[in-house]
Amino acid sequence: MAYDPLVTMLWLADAPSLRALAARLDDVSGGLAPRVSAGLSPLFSTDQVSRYPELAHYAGRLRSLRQWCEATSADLRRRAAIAEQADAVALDPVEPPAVRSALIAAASGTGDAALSELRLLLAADGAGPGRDGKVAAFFAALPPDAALAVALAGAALVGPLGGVPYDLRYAANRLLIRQARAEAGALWLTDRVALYSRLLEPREVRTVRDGRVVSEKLPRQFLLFDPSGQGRVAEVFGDLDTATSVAVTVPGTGNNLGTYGDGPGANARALHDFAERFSGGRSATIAWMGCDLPQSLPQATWTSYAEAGGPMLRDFVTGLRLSADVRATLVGHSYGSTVTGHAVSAGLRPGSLVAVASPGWGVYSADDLHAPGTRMYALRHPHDAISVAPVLSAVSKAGLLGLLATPWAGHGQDPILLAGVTRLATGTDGDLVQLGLDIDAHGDYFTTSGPTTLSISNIARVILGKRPITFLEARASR
Amino acid sequence: MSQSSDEPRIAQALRELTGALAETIEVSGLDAEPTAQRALWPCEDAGKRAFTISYDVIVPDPHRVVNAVVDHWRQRRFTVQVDRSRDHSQPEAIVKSRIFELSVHGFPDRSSVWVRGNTVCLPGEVPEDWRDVR
Repeated sequence: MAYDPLVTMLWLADAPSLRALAARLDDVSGGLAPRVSAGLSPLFSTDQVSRYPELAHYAGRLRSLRQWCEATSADLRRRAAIAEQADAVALDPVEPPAVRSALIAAASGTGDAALSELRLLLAADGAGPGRDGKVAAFFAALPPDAALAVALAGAALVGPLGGVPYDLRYAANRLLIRQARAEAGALWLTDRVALYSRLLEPREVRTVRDGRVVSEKLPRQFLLFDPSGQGRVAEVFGDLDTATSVAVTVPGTGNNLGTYGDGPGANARALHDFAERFSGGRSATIAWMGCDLPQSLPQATWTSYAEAGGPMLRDFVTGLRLSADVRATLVGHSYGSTVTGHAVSAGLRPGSLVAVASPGWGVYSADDLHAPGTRMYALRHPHDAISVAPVLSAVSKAGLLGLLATPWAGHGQDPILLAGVTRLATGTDGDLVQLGLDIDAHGDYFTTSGPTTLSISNIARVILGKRPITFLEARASR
Repeated sequence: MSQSSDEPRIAQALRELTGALAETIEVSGLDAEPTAQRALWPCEDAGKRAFTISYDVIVPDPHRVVNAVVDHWRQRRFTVQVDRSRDHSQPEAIVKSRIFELSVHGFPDRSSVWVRGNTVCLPGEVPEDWRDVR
């Protein structure tokens, strides 16, 4: 007889009961272990199955029973982890009430059959627009409460999955963050608990209603969350469903889940503040950190991170299934711009591509990106230390670095120098020398040791298709 | 990065920024004082902080408000980075001082103005009433 844990429908959906049942099954499995594992010798074995040949035909059944106990126990623990969060979200004032109901449904196995169907669908198709469309159709065919239960029952699968409706991905990823926080709490990892708690803090959003400015707190919107390794995250600011302009920002070297809140997340939020006001609430900004980034300057000379990350960014943006009339912009800061360049080289075709303090898009000519329909912009403070990176890249390409030159280091020409790329004003446009070693200036497009408002507002204009202030205009006006 | 003793502190920047914004709101000629929205502003330097304050205001004539604000800022001798106050569709201006930036953006199509400012990234103790700002 085959035992399928999915057909083990339980009516208990509270976490302590589910965990108690899992523990009981673990005991049973432990008790079966000596009876189904091969003994050193039938002579010395204590269990009756191996001692008596006439009982040997029970061994296979006992082995199946033990496997069932282990699989069911694991499934019960997964459900318990979901049920635990149903209790937690009940105390969260910004989490929609439907999420709690769906968590209870997911914990009691309601979404499991549909989740199995989804897994089959994914197994039959490789990642890409075709599969994203099938995933979208799969969820569109489910009633809303069932779709949410499936998303929460399979949060790790659904959270990052292209084609899934945004709201379901948001709910799935918030569940993953809550579960990660609970696991960190159980291990007394207080730094991690604080980090995950910060990710769950609601966002205060202002809107104009009936001629009045009103403020409300909304749950965070993540399209990706994975705490393993460096950690991966993608957060949406604004309403992605109604946005007519969408920007995806990619940060640079040294960033990881630990730096996200004060770094890439804060930068994207600042940019969104401008884009949202300029567009009257019709824009969305996504802080994307969905690939490993170099964590040191020597690593930042390598192309490998961008070569791996570019296709991942392409798949992420494609998986959003933005409608054709939505204006999409990629904004990469520092090494993040190299990742965006590789995403375009890998076939992504955003409406606009913005390089901020870039070591290069991985090309020596804008034509090499093969994206004639993409408008290209770049901005860099003249004294920014990144200005030396393309110089080193060119010297290396010319064979002047000897043994230090490698084919896997260097990112091409500085985008501000490429034909067909519009250089934007940054507020330091009067400087005559265009080369410098100022490390602080490298962050002064979002993070402020100096002026940043002009840079950010200029990028926001590009995102919305408005006319930006160019470097040449700013220089001429001085 | 080294910190000299005469380097401005975040408390001073917040004092000056809130003062400059209060004056700006006053010269805007608004009937009632709008509610400020306070938030952290990007700052990745260890031991430093930056903040932003902004006001979304419904006004009948955004052009008039932006012009009044820019005139005031010029009188205060802030460094004008951008002056597009005559722009028909989105009048705006950006000014800066050593430790903060200010900008005003008018949206005539929505009869609203966005007045905002941010400190630069600075060290020092964050004033008590700013500690819960996220």
